[in-house]
Amino acid sequence: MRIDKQYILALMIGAAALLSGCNDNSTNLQDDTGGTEVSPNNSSTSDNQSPPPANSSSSTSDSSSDNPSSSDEPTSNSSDSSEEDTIEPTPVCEGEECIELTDGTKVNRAVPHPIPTSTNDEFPPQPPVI
Amino acid sequence: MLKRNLFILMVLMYSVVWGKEYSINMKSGWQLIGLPADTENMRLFNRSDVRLVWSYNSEYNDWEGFSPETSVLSAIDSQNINRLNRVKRWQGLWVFSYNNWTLTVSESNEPSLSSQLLDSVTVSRGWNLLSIPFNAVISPKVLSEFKIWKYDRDSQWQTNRDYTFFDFPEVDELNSKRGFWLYSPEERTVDLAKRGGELLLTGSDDQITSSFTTLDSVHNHISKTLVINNREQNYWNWSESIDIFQTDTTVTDSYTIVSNGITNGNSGFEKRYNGVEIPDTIKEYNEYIFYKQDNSVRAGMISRFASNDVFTPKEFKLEYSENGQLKTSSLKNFAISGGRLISFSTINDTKISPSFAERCREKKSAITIHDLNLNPIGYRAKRDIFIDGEVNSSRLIDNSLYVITKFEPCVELQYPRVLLQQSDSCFNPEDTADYRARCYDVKSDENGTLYRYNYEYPDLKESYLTPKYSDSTGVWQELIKDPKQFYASSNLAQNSDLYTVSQFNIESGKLLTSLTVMGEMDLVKFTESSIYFTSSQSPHRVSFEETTGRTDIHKFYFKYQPKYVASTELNSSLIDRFSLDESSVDSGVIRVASRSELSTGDKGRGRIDILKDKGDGTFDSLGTLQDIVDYRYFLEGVKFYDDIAVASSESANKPLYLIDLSDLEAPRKSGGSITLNGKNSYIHYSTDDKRLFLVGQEVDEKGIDGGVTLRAIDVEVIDTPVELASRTIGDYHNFSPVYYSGKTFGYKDSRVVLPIQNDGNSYSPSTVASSVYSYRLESDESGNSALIRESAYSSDSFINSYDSNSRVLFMNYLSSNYILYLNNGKLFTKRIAE
Repeated sequence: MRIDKQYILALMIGAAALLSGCNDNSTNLQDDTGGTEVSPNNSSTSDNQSPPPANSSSSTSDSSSDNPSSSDEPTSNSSDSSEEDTIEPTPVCEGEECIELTDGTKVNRAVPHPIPTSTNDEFPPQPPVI
Repeated sequence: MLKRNLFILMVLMYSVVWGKEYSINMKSGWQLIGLPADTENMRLFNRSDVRLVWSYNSEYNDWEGFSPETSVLSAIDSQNINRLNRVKRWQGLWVFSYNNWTLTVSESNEPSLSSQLLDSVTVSRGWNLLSIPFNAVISPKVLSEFKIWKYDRDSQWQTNRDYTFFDFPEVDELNSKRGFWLYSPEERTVDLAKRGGELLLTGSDDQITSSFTTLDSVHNHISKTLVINNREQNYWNWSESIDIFQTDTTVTDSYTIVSNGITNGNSGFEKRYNGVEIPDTIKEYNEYIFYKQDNSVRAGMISRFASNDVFTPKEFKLEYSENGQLKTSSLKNFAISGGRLISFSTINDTKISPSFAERCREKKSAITIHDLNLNPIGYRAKRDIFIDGEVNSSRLIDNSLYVITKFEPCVELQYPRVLLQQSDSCFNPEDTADYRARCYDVKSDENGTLYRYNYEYPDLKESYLTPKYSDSTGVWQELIKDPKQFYASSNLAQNSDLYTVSQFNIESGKLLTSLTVMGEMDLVKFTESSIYFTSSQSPHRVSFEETTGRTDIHKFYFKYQPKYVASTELNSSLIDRFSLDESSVDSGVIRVASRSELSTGDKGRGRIDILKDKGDGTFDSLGTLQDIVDYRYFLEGVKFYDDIAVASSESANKPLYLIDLSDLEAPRKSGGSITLNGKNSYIHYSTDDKRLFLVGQEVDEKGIDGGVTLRAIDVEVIDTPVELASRTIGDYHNFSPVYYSGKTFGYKDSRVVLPIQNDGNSYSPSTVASSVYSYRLESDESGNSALIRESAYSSDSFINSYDSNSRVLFMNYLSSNYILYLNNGKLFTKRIAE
């Protein structure tokens, strides 16, 4: 769902940038994966467990020590993220634009950008792709 | 002089060889980070972990790149891109890593006493790639004039601008571990540390209000602050930082800091204002004396106390129950005004098997309003008000009760597990320091699966954020009703204490207004119509962790319609709760005592600032007095009395300095001072006749304690203080509760009253009995003054202990003067000779 919105807006912003002459020299006009890269360990975040006691601090009201084993209770945050993961598949990077990580995952060699190709007063610059 | 020089020498030696290592857990792929220290050691981005590093030179709109791989470095060169040879701590960095790894950076030879501050960053026009250059977490809201983009959680972009078609999340926080983009329309210098101490406000001049617009945004801010403050230690992972070089820490000097009446927290009666009733434990009202006895207020006719009748005063019992079960409560104090008795109690509302919310709400305050009947004393109606949290202080003005309560929100965090990849080197244990540094936080479950906790983004399992109250309607309601009356600073790494000033109508017992300020406050000062909050949570930064003092002061009106007034900051630290005082001549003026304070421990000679609220959200500096104490010492305390102040250094045997504050624009150290010759413990100033009274313990030349000393000093001509009289009471078996509570000291019409106790162990001929003693300051025909003993209570049985509620009160009945002494819930009366 988020990709769709970003794709539409990328087109809109790209068009606006072209019209205003503010386009940059970026090469990845067709790349709509910017900002959606997911780190490999993301899927494990739904496995919650209270931290070791050293993590509690003064204003937690004894919270962590009172609930040492509540790993079965998913939090709203984790359920949200797992739901999002099922709707939006992890993007796959293929081709020369990708670099393979140690674990075999491939990541785009271009620095991430909120709206690829759109560098102007609204969006930050991107370095060259190396 | 020797003492101070030795101390400075020690600090300098330490700072020269001081250094620390900080670790950052890097993730595979792209990451936008900041470093906690400047470095020229680009080898910390090593070949096995890192492919590419980018920084952005905003001055020339150029990228600067670095790679540990020769081929990638050649590609950078071939595109005429400048190489990145060094990294400053304020720079944001894009880093591409092949795997998860730990980046370790050293902060060595840091000149911790350097005058160069890290607070500010100069941003160029256009885009700047930045990081917070010191250890802090700041709300992006305080930089709302700039466009900000941040790439962080789950590889998401965040922004502080609302792009209608996008659902980019709002920037959550700015900190020193993460980089962020900032767009500035012009070149300017941004003091990030100062911004961290500012309240989140909107508007200008006298129309400044809180920037919070919805109660949801209030809850989100409290929740975010709780999470950030509680994740602190593990998130930063810098508790593991070590000293690279360690000096032998030998104590070269130890100061003898003892109480001298200024440096201890011993206060007398609170400052009084016309028309403002302040709670206490004893009050004279109409024909009655009211006083606190355990959990009750007792009331008896003055005539009966005067005649020493044996009688039982009327009891106003203050007990609270729920479903027939009595709650544990404790009466603090009470106020009386307009025919109403208003008591303040704390309740420990402990339940069996409490829910999370009930645990958070165990501390409550109970305020009970009695509509009094006189002759005979009693009440015709009463109303209870309950508020989550503890009463800090209160004021009764006309028909309104203003009460400040402090509530601590609660949160329970869960840390998600992050499984380690099979390729992670932590799967292969080694007995090396490097392995321990990389893998110390790795845990194993019952199946041998290795994981870490994700301390960066804990899940909020449970929270209870805001206080509730129950007024005369008996229904529990939210105390924070209006988001525009909620104020919080942009510093997100601090306690989330909520200080709420609530206004209740004492006729109806209903809430009229409330205003809440959130933060870790050093001082909450209630004056006639204003409340001042001070915080030291955003000091100047001289290295990543070392600081010098800075104090943020925020002023609010509380009467009628509470509102924000003004803020200012001092480049120094307040000393204690007596350090801020409103001028009795002009309520728009405050006097503030502070001193420079390095986190290494060194302190300064102190200063007093006279500041005037300009009415546009700021303060003007009217006058300043610097370097108050002798150059060999540091300022240890200041107490303000009307238009004078008394200051002391840390040395017990040095004189007390007298400061003239009568000219607001030219505060000055007077030519006079008061020499101490023993252990002084309490100073009382009499506004009416401009006399200072000092109470302490006599000490002889060999350092052996003597009796209780009482001195009277005339400071009408502040440059030439005159000791009018002094006397020693008893011997080393004697001491006075005045040492610990100035509220047991009384002075009126040249009459001094104070309790004296003996240790009960043994007696000598000069030991005096435990009693309340009265002395009259009299002058003979030749002008010589003396403290003449008048009377003492005959029995010592009631005075051999004291409590924090003990008080002295003067009473006049049928043209005779009486002393009342409240001690351990009992009231004793003594007529004084005319």
